[in-house]
Amino acid sequence: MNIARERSATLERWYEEHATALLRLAVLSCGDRPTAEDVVHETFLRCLHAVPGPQPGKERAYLRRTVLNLSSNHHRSARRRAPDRLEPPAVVEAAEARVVASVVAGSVADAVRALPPRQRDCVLLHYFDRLTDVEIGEVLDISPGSVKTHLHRARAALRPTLEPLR
Amino acid sequence: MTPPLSAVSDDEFDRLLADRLQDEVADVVAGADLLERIRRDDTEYSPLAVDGGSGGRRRMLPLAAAAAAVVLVVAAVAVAGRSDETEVATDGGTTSPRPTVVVDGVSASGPWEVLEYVESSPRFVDVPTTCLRFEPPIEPGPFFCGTREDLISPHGRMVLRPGRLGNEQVFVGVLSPEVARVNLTIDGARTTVEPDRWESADLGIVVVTVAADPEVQEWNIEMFDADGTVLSSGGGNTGG
Repeated sequence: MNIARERSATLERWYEEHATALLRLAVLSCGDRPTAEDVVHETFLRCLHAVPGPQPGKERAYLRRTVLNLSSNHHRSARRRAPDRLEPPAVVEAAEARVVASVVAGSVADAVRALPPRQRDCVLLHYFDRLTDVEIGEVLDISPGSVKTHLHRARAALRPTLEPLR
Repeated sequence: MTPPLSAVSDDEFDRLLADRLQDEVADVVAGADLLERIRRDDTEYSPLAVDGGSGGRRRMLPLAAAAAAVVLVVAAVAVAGRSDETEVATDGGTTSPRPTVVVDGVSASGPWEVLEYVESSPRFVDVPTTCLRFEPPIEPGPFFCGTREDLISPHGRMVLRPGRLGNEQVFVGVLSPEVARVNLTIDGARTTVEPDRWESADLGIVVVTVAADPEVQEWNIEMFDADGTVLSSGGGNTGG
């Protein structure tokens, strides 16, 4: 089988198995469908051409990791207009304050998107994708203990601030 | 009536949150149009691809970016005094170039390398993006990417990433040329590092591994020029 045909077959298989779940994950992470479609589009192209690509059986984690990574790039890009700043490694603002601000506008996903990046990714993989702590750790390349910590902090930030949405 | 989230049990909170997230995207379905778009761009994504496993398959980049990357890689190799021969790996009857190390260094947990530098215009943002492929990887996905502005404006950007071991984390920074020294204060302990220079790409790179159990709580970063003047400072916490 030639390379192009093999890649086409891989795309068909991955798309059928993962595309809708990845698109939903990207919509929740990015906040709008056009951006999410761009992220999923780029995800498939990158993963198809990755050298080395995902190991057999690890495609699910690999694709999700790339979606979240590209979504984070989107978040960073959206923030890039901030003047003369040192981009901090994670979060400067208190997580809860950001969540509260987002809830005024709307959805649960808005509140989740306002979380620090790692907490946001853990929440989406846990509550939306229903992955276990071990599986989330594989996707994000962190320990299950760190996953628990991020989820604990995310719950603490989300619980009081989601009240207005009930 | 739906109970207030603040009043429900942990299990109920978990269920409600999961249900609401699922509901918000229940009508989102990946259609055939997106698949067709990926198929169409797949060809463009690999302009140098050669069918049939006849050899000569090249790293797949947009042509302009590929040319720029080659220039940068060669220049970086020349600066580093390395051989400019590209290693070639044989894989199932096809040959493909193995990326050349363009800059490397050593952090507390061991050596690191940047295997590729790509500056291109990806499809999901409307501005040129710089991508570095670190080995070992420093974030999920194959590349550490950001807009050129993200990476070096005004003096650099540092990110915190999980390390390879469960009890370590890694600060990775890509800095503009004028940064000569970086002070990192992590949970009260100060570390001073000098960026590894990658002159041909006009960037400095720092990699600092810190043992942290379970993780870094607070940090402060100061960047200095060669005269000791503070160029930038900032800090943060993990948001707990």
